[in-house]
Amino acid sequence: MRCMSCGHDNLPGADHCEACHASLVHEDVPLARIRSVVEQSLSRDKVQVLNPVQAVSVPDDTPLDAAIRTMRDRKIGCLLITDRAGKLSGILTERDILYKVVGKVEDPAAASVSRYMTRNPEVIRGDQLLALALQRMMVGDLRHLPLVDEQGRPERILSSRDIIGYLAFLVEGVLESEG
Amino acid sequence: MIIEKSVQEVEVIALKMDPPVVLEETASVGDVIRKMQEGRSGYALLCREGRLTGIFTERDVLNKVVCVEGALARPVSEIMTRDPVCLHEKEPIRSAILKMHKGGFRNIPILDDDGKIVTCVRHKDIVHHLVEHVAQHVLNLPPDPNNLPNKREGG
Repeated sequence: MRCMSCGHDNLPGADHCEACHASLVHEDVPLARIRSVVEQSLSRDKVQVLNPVQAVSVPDDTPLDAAIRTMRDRKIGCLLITDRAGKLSGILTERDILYKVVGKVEDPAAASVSRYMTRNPEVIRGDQLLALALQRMMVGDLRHLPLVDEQGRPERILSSRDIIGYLAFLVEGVLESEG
Repeated sequence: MIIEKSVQEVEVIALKMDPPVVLEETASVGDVIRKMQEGRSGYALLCREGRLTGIFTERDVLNKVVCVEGALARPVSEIMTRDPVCLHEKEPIRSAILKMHKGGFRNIPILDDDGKIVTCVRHKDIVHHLVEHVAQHVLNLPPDPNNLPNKREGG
């Protein structure tokens, strides 16, 4: 049972944190205890506050070379792949191209994008917590996290670039308030 | 230390970073890509006589190499980005965040006092630092945060 206020690892079932005496009942965790703007934001704000960009997607029977051209033309590092119902079925990133395609595929026009994409990628919804998105990005070592709607259709795409921008904004904000 | 303070006070070199992938700028694009694949790296630093001269990233692979006839045989010096923006190892993490944000860079080489390559800082290293600092909010999330257990025991 880890204390939400100080991080101390308590015995399971404890009512109060051994280290800081904060209540371990979830509803009672006081947000005011968290001094950092970034921490407050992470535990409160939703993914959509970062306003991630619209996702670009192609059907899963698209030839590999056409998928690569789309990424180049639209200047994106990540392409979403959808099935017949329009649901997200995979993701093709610069990393997939570096590891699986370049120097390894003889004829990209004859190959289907579905063979080289990463299947069933981790996703997030816009109304979920930023902290959860960060957790998924770190645990899966992912640079992109597609945002899907209730039906699993891709909408937007959260990238590590958005996280860096968010940090830059908060770090600059801190400097301004200190004068 | 809270995250705002740590990014201003902790030197970028204190981040956990992998050893850099470094090759001579005379190497071919194909050789550089093989080294990136082996090292599971999204970038390679290129140098001449021990000095950094350029950077080659997976973005270059997408834009200039894959599906481009003969690109693998060319010397990497023809298509790498010359004289990339760098950081000094003693600069704070904040400098890395701001340079990445302003320039749109995903990888920034880190140099020492003598201008020698130390390593390269990536988005991922910054995200890890952030997550480590806010671990109790990030890593303790239940699998579905909207479905909180109604008892402490989670039953």
